[in-house]
Amino acid sequence: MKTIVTKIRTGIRMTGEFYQDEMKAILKDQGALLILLGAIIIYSLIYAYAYKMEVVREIDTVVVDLDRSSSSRQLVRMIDGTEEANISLSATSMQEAKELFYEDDQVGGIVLIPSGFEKDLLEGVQTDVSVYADGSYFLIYRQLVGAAVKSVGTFSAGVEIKRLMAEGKTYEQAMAARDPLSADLHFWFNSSSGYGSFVMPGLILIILQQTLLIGIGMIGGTGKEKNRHSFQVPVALRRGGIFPLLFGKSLSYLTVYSINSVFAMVLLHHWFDYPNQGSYLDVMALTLLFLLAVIFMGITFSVLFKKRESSILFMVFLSPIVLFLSGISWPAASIPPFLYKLAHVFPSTIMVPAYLRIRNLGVDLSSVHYEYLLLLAQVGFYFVTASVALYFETRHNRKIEARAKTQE
Amino acid sequence: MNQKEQTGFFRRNPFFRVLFREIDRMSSSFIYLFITLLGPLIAFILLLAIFNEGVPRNLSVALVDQDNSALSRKMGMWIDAAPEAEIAMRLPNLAEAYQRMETGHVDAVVVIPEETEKNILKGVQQQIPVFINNSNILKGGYLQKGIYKTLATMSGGIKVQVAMKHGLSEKQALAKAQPVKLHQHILFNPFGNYAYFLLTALLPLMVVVFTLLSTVYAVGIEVRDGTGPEWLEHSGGSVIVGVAGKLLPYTLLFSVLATVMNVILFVQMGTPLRGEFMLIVLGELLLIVAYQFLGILLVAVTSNLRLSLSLGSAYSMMALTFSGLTFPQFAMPVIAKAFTWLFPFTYWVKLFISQAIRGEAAVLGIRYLAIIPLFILLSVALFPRLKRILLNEKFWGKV
Repeated sequence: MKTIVTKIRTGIRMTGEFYQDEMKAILKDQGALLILLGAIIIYSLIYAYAYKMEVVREIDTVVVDLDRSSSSRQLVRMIDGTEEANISLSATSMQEAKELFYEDDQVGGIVLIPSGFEKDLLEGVQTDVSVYADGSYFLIYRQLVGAAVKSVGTFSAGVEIKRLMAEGKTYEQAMAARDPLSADLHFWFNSSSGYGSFVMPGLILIILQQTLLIGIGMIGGTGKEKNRHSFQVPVALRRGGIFPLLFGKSLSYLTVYSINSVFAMVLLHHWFDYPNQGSYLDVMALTLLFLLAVIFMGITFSVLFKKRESSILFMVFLSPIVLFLSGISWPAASIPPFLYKLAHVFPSTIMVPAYLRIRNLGVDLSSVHYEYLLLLAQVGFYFVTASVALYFETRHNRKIEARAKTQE
Repeated sequence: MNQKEQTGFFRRNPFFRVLFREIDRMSSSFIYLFITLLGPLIAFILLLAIFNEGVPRNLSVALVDQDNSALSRKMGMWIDAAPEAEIAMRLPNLAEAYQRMETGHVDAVVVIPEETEKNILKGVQQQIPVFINNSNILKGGYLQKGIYKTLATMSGGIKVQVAMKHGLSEKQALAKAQPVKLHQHILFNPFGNYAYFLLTALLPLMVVVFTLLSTVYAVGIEVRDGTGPEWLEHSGGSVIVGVAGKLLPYTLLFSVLATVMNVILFVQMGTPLRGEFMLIVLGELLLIVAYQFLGILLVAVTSNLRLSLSLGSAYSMMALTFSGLTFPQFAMPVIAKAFTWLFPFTYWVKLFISQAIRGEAAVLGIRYLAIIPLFILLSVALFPRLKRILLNEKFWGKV
């Protein structure tokens, strides 16, 4: 009984020593500090600033009004009145409009109203309005076409209702006859389609994960180059395995990333007004598992890096790939199933959808229990792999040390 | 005799001495193989696989059908048939459907209220509530498009039927149903799909990332290991010859990679090529060389391999955001807008859009091309400092 207590006490004492040791290694290492502490602050602030305006507003648009009637002018005013479009120029022909479009980088599209527009309307003949939107920038295209659909739809409805009421129908009857089956669209969550609110919360998780993986790999590689731990570890091995080493290391990264998480998940959300519906307790519960899974994964892979710069060279390019695999923007259902399953080696693939539901939809843990259990399993899995990896590494180090001794 | 003379020339010429030294170094470690060949290829394959489907299809929709009529069943079938949407489940009420949205099983809910069919037959307008989870604006946009179009088509169909019942011809009925028709034309975008649109930026981004990192590594490792004097000794003391001989193998390798990328972009994906292909190829070459020189610049400024790698990866990754392709430049705040011009990648994206997608006059493309060499000049200005770092022991061995 007493021996167990002593063992535990030694274990805790050694964990503390390894914790201090790892913290020192992090703090003394400029390059690692930049990645483990600086990157999340710099990256997230720069990205958040770039996306600050959230939506693309008032896109410059050229109008070609070939009709020059009061009806066509009314339609132009309606398009100009939308949030998305700004009728900034007018041209007398499509040719001229295209020239204006090529000359000015700011111009996002052209609206063409044909001659005879008003006459057709009065005669009850269908008339065509065209919108040409710049498809080389996706967001511009979407906004401009959206504005045109909205204004032309409203304009068209107005014409119809006037016509139907002229036939003697009441307003309600006219509405029903105009659109018997009307879609009543409701956008839940991020209803203004803000780009920053859409992309930043998930992006923050990816940055946390990737910097953590690279940073741990870097410290691990440095340790290997300097042969750190080679003297303490054999002692640790004798007294209760490599667990104190693993706990000590993990706790130090957890300390640093708790600070990072508070910055990126609380402060940044507050400053830039990102969605924040769920309770912080749920966010914390999920984030803790996420960070642990990433840390254990990082420690597992860190033993593979023999040099300090290897982790950057091997892992940086994965960041955008992991981002798209997490389903932040590209729907997970549209990723080939095999690849999506494979992507579950990264904690972000499990974490991102669950986290976004908590932050955006405000659900509680019971609605993400599937992902929660999956993350828990991942923590367990990487805990085992990290233990095994550290065990073999320390055994390897011990052999080197023994060899060095016999040579003496 | 002749051959001996030739090898003699190669052995004596400083440029080739550095070149062969570099090839020797490259074949000595797996890292070089990874950052010049394996890494980029893995990245290409993964990206192509992710976006293989092109457009998001069959996003999950829950149908709450409280009407249970012939019309409501038809509506369900039509929504299911829309390419963007798929009726994943039928539920008795909105509360349950909302729960499914909370657990992430559906992205939209369509509610068909009681008496929908009756109302339509009576000539009373019927609202169909549609709830879309817009926290992912890409999915939300596609769902909105698919469901809205389906319902509008149904509504239009009912109107035309009613009008024709009243004795109008089909043409008259159509004109009555929709007095103003909007024709949507997409200028330039060949795909109208987000995936291909992203790939035309993501593939070159990968070329840029690996080009920058491999250069930083190749030059930085000399500083770290203190092999600078040996390198310069091979080049006969000239930094310019030294840099040229060192970078050339990478320039060639990444040009091959760019060629692979061109085949993927223009042959496999069918990206249009409306302008000057030669300008695009020249742009790719300049882009690669510019990022190589920026790699040297980073090492010369920091004299620290790892710091250069960290800064280099941040700088190369950020280029995607600041190229304005995903979120347009003109919608960014002023400082961010100015920031976008600090990345050669931005000019490349502009050149690509100008020459491949839009097919503008070559002059307009050359505008962007002409700026990229400025980045090279900036780096060359720091060559004296690079030489000092390479030769001065106090800069070596930094972690």
